[in-house]
Amino acid sequence: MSEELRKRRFQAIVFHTFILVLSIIVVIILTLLNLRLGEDTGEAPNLMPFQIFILIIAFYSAMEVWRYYKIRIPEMSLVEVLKCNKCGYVEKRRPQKGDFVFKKVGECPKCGGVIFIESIYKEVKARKSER
Amino acid sequence: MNGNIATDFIMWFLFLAFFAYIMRELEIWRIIRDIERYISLYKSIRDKALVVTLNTFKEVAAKTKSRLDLKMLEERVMGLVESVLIEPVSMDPFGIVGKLKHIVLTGDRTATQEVKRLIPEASETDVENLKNLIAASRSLNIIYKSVDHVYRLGRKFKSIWLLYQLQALLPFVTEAMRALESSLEAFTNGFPVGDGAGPLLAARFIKKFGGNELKIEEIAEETIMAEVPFKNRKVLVIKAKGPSGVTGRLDDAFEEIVVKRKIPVKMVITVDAALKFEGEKTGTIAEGVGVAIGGLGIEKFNIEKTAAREKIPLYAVLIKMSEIDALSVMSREVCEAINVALKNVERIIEERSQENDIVVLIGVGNTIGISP
Ligand SMILES: [Zn+2]
Repeated sequence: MSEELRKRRFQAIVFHTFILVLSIIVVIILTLLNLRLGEDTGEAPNLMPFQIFILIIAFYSAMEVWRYYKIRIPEMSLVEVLKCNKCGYVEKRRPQKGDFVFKKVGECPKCGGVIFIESIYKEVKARKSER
Repeated sequence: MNGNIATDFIMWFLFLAFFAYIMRELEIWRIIRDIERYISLYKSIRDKALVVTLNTFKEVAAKTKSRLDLKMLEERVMGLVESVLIEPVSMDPFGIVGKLKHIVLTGDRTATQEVKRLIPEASETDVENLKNLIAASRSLNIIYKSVDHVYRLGRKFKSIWLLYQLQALLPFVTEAMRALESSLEAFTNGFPVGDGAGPLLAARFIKKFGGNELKIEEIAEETIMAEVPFKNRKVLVIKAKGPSGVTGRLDDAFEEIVVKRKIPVKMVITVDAALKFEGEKTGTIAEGVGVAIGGLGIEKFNIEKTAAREKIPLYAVLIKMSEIDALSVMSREVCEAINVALKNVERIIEERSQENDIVVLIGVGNTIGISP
């Protein structure tokens, strides 16, 4: 799940950055054009509305880039706690398919008692700020 | 000169009007884009659920070395996913809980039969996990289809308000979709989910005070009862029978104890996972009175009825979590909260009952990945 989310996030950032850069370039070109035409003929056409419109698009894309950039995709890891019945020996590992809580999984390496699964849980490494 | 100013003014006015119009269209377009993005997300989640379900079927079949007709499997699973549960008519609500229970049990039995027909050698745990996967796929399918339905209607009739409403609901729908999606991981592997907080607490209570010569019996279908001595009291712990993913017949078990066996129960404590508010922390514990059982309300109704008739006080301990926490693999916070809740349960039993009393402790929830 987080793999897929990461891919989507990357795609969205690339797309909106592209739009942002493109619109800024267009605005610059329009400005230069305006100046050049003004120099040549002394009367420049009014390109202001177009520039404003494109700047709004640029602003929107910038907001989107920032929004996607801020999304932190949580990294999960599964943990299984093994515990000895007698001496309290504890070991952590990744759970395997078919494991369940209070399943007996073997002998204690310290005292020879029964080791069972104390708990299986999911740990989040980075807390999400998802939309 | 004057004419120039006039045309300029008109041009600006036209531009503003055009701009206002464009902004509105853009807004509609943005909403539609937003909804479409969500719907394609829902569709991908639904499809993923179907793939996971089919793959798990194949895995189980490979494990039991049974032959599987892939085409038939796909058809059957799709049939199960598209199947519906028709609620009883509620115009005359007298006795509706009994009818609802009958229908739900029929649905459950049918699902078991269907799965067993596809893979006759599958173990009980595998059957239950497959049923859970199918149930998750079914919910995902229904949500996806109904959202898509409203969206299509909104577009067809160009109803911006329908689209606004749909968009306003999407955060909640997405939360539910994500929760169901993350439940797939737990159900394919058979790991405990957050909703298993109640059963896990019950199992820990049994483990902690049960000792070695513990008597565990299957008191109702898919439900166990353990007699645990605790501070000179007798605690009857009821939970669904693990580690397969079932929620048990808790009301039947309670009925068996109180009515059929006529055991003089002095109090009942139910422990369940409860939905938290967005501002609350996962693993917050709340205490209260009443029966803490979610779902359709059948078991809640029946236990309340029996307890009220026999005048047995009802206490509840709730472990709060989000919908996603409840359906995905149990989070660390919930796992730790269970130990705190266990202390609360011990304290409640000690403070609110006398020695030699008989107390019933019910761990409510899906016991997947939790034994006994
Ligand atoms: Zn040991």
